[in-house]
Amino acid sequence: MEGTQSVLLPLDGERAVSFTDRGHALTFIFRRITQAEWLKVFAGVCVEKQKDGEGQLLTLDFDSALVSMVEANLVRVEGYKAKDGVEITAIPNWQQRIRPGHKLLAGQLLQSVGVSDSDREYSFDSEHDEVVLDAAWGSSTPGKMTEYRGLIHRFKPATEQQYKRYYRALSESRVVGGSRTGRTIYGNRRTILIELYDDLIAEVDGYSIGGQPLASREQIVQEMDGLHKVISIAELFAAPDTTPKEETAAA
Amino acid sequence: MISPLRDTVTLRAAALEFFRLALYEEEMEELTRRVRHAQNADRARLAREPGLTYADGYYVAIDYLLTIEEMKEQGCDITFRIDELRALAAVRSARTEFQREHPPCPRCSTLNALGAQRCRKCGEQLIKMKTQRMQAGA
Repeated sequence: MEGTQSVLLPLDGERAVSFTDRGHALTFIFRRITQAEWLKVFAGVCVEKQKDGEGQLLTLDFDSALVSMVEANLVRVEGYKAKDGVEITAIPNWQQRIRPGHKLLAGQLLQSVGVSDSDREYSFDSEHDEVVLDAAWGSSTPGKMTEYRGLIHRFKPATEQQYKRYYRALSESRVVGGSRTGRTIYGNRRTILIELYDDLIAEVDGYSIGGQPLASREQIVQEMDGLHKVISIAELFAAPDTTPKEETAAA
Repeated sequence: MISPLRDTVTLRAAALEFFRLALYEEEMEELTRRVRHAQNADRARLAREPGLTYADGYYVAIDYLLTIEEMKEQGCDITFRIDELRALAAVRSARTEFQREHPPCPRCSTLNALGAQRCRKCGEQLIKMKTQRMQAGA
């Protein structure tokens, strides 16, 4: 990371991710990743469980849909050396010619957002429940990502019916191949999480559109990054993390 | 493709297994505490933990149904969908069968297998011995 930014995280415009491979900096520049693009990724995530002898075999595939999204939204790359004077972006379907490992890492960097690990005191707010995220977003120095800390999402209190909707989303599944020996394919709960986010969000701090903070609930619903919606609302409903801080750090 | 919430026949069977397994796990916890002094038969039971018969989705659905049932019982303002009502009826039917198989101890309410002679927790005699009944009748 290239240091923590105190400026607002720009949701609009192109978005860069940057990393190094054997000391060589590579930067991938994407068009804005829209919510529709994230929904495609979420729909492509595959979580399956199948009985395997006495145990259960868990199959997870997060990567295929992510790589497809990277290929579909990549505008240009920087750091690849031209061969015989031909730039990589001049090759037809150049996005598909990039090494899979690089595309996967770029996709993972687009997902660099999580619940803030900073020490915060929980203050009681009768109107809102607050979730704080940290994210790596954009890059101004090749090989390094820019980190944004303390991105705040404030939600209206969830209703009991919304809690039920959340639990149902967690439990949705389909069984293929018979009730005893079949595979359980888990549903795409992230789509429902985005719906819950749109229902419950009240305010955010730390984000901008056109250099200006997000001003209204409607603007947040329309402009907020799809993945930031999912991560923040999932944290709102999640059970408290009771692991002592030392154990978390050691893990 | 089967939706576990709509496959109420299998859901009921899985729920019965779910309740039995919960009791088994409770017994195993108790047994594990005593394992140092366990008899061979107990050690054999510990090694023979039962596997689940049905696909994982059924048990996840049961967990969800028990969660929303508990929410409703606590007075939460939630409405059930028609598939949830039918699935919940199947789970309740399984619970009734499980409770019939495992009547509570009259002294401490611990569930015991039907036909058990003594309560597994407090030791209360659950079935009067035949000889005692004969003596009483004589």
